[in-house]
Amino acid sequence: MIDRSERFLHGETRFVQDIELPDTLYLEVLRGPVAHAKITSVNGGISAKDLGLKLISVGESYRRGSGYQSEPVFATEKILYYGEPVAAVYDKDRYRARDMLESIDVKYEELDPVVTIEDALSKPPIHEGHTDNIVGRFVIGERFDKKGEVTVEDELSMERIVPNPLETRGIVAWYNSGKLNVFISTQSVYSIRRGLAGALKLDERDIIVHQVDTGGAFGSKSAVYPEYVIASYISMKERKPVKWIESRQEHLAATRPGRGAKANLRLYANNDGRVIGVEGKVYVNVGAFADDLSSTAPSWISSQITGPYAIENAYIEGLSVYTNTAPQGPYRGAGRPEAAFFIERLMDRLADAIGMDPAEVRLKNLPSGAFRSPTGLEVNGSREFFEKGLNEIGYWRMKKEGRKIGVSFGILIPAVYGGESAKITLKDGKASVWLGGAPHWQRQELFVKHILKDVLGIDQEKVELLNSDTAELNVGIGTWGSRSAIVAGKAVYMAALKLKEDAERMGIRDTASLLNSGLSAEYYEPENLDPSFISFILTAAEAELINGIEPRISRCWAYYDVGEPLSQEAVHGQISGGLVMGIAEVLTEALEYDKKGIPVARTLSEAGVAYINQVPEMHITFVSYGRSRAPHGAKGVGEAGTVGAPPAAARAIELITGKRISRLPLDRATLI
Amino acid sequence: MKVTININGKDYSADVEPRMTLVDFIRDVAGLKGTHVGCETGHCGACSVLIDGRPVKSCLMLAVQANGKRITTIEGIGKDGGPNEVQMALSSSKALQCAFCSTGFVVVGTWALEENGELTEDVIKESFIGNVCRCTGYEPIIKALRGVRKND
Amino acid sequence: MLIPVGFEYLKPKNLAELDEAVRDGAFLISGGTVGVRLLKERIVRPKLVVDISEVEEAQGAKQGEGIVDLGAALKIYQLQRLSVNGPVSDMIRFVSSGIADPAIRTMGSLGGNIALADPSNELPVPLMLADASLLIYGQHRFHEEKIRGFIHGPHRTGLKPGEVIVRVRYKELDGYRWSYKKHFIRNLDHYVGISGAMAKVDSGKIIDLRLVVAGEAIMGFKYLAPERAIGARPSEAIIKEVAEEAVSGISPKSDRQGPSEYKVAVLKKLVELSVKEALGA
Repeated sequence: MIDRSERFLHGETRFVQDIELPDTLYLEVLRGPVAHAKITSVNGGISAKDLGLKLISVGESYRRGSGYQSEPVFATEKILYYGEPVAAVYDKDRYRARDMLESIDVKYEELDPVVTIEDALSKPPIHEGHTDNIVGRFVIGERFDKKGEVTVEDELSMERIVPNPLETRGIVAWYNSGKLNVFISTQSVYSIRRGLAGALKLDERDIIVHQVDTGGAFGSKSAVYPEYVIASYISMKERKPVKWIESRQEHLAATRPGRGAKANLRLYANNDGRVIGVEGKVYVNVGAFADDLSSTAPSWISSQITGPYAIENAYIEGLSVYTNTAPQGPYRGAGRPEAAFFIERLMDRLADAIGMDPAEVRLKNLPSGAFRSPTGLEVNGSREFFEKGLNEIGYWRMKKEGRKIGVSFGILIPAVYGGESAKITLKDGKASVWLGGAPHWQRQELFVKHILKDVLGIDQEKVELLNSDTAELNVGIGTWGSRSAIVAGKAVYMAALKLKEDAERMGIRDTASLLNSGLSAEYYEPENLDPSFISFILTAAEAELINGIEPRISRCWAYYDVGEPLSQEAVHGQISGGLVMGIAEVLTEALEYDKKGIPVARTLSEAGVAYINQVPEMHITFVSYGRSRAPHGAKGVGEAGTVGAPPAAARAIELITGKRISRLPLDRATLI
Repeated sequence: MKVTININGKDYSADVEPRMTLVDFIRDVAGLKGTHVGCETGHCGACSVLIDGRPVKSCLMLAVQANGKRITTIEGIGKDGGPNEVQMALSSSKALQCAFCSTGFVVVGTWALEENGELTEDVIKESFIGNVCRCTGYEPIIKALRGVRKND
Repeated sequence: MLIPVGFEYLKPKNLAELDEAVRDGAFLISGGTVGVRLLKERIVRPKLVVDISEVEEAQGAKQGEGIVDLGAALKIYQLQRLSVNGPVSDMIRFVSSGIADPAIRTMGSLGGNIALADPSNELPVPLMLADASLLIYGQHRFHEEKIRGFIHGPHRTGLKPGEVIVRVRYKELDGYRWSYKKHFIRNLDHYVGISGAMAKVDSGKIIDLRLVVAGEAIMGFKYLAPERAIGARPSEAIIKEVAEEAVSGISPKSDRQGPSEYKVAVLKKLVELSVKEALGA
């Protein structure tokens, strides 16, 4: 059997851009050319008026809270962000479809755009019928009086980031014999099925979603987007396959970006370094439309603001706000890096204020036993882990040598909620495996093979992990939030155990017979967060100056708790990938808007993604600081690097430039 | 306009619009889907192919510009019917993740090995300066390819 | 997706064919690394694209009587392995090896790099230092122009519609040392600053010092021959003075390449580094 990686090295791919069905129609989308405008007319193509009121909303089935403004399929009365779909055209010739876009005439009157969080709080509401631009208000923790001997405060922010997987988004929708077949690049076929059913008013049983090879996602391929609804709608109308492939420029303008968070925080402490409490405000820019995830982001960030530390008091007010920018979504880490950046920057500030080593200050505040934070988060004791980690990476030795090392301590809370499903079929001499979380090859196949070898004694080369598919596995969740190794791993493990029992009952003893037995097993069970799932991460960085002025990270260290590591390569690759993304977030990567709310970057390079010349020397160590509650003991790792790297890298740069860093990406004005 | 391009040793002729990009010719006319479109502006390297042995970004070239040229795509790369040194090193190290970028890395890496005889860390960092890998942080790729030599 | 508007395409084999091919509104491409992108983004919408990459008069490189003569159609990667001698040629080889990436260097040409006059184009820097001449052809005649006067500003040159650069010629600067420094924030993006320096120092005294600065910090190309350095001994003070002169009067705009003051500081730093190296100080 050809391993997937073998297939790819020879170019035998099945990405959505590679799928060509007979009679395909190619879809192109006309997008809002300004961030905020009143539409006076749209002539040509299909637009909001053609869909009818019933098909107006993309996120219908995601809406649980009330009052959120969820996303329309096409802009209706107003254009609310640059890149918002306004109309669409299609043709059997892809080049002609692109030409047809120019025949659509949109007339509009520009309105004052609300671009930043500050704009949102001071300018009139962007949505009709709203009194302000506030989406949600949250209070986390309780007010406290004890303020201590030292107060440090800062305004900290992390700019928006476009996920920019190397493969953009794309879909082939084919309505055929009463069923909508969807071939898609996604993190979750179930999320796509639910979203399309809601938007198109179809029964979920009439939608079959097939994941095709998915070229990265980083959060951007979990939700349903307007183009998916448009493609499906046209296919239902024309009864032909409809294909849409996003251009990079569309991705940079309209795919959900992550981050876009700001905090005004105060940390109260005593001169001995003990922190008494943290207090302040956390804001998140949700963009023009909200869903449950984006609107509650300030609450999610604030709930983990105390990190691994035994901080007794916390009182945070969270606000999510609308702006005339693309709707916000998850980006690798999704709230975890924000919380870590906020608290870790304050820890460094405190260390400077009292003249203590930053690692020492952190150790002072770590509990040795389990701790329940004032925000309700249960975290195990981590002092021993971080003490050991500092020694392992040589922190104290390097410090003695006069080297300037930035360090961050963090927690990684995996999104285990909901659990996950898996199916294993033993047939034709091989084991075929499907997961609920659509793999885009964060090396899930490595842990799947590991588990099947472990439980059923099946050799690695006899195991194939297939793309996620609602036709094979009817229930499931998705891949995100550092969850796959834990919940999908557990589901595979449990399904394998079931097969083992079945095989024993049937008297099958050798693996050859087992692999031809035709046995199949599915497993699904919801999961809840447990402190044993939370892993600890210690990250350190050292910086240097290029041409005596521009910082780069020259070395970094990761000492991460991954529970039972299921595959060395998989864990290593997840960490190195996360670290480099985290470093890029400090130095180069951001979705910046001009004053009119138009994204500045028009290419991957301008978006500031990391290239090979940005890679530091890496020292990656992973250890098991206790197994997780899952039967196979795994913890999460996918987002560890993006949580740990930004504060460590920011500190390392601060140490060589002497200029304080409070916002990401680095403001070059602070370098002179 | 009539265009004939030799791809992986085989001539592909078609009457195409002059505005057709080379990558579209490779994917849609020749039907070779291993060359990917990642950014369309020459900044990611996913569409890398070799023309007369040297790498080009096929999204930034018109098919008519390549008329009469000899092109090697990922489908034409390998050695004695199997993987070449670069493919073997990337495969055994399990360095790849989503693999959308990997065909570009293999194409450019194959050229770099041919050009230099050995992939040192400097050669790797210089050769892949125009190839984006979004998943791995590059370090596993550097480790996998460092020290790979041409076996004749 | 990015797809150009429809156009006709011609690829003349020589200047005579070029004369026939070129007509009003024709869009000329050589390597196409910039031109094809402009087409794909529909920033240019020509009816005719003329590919000048195979014009025979613009091929090859030769050296004789102290003059180096380069065909404008030479690809950047061919410049990397130019077999001509002298410090200017050394500098051209070095600069070429650092342009964009190997694939872009396969495609991009010497002529394109000059004619586009993007402040981040690199080959004008050594050529301006060497006071190179451009042989230009158009409307059935040749004329020569010095590259120093040819580039008028960002994306603005003395090239008239239908004209092409055929050859680039320069005299080697024997006995000169050179240095080339550039600075970017994002890989493959525009340069914040570029500084190229060439100097001749004899018996501890500066005989000649030339400087070209470019990049976003100055939004163009600037040639300087700092007079006060001539006859002086290389010193930190001289280097600082030259750097001050290079950045005097510039006020770049603040944008994604950093605030104005950052760009000035970067350029100043680059000038210091390159002048120091060229002076062997």
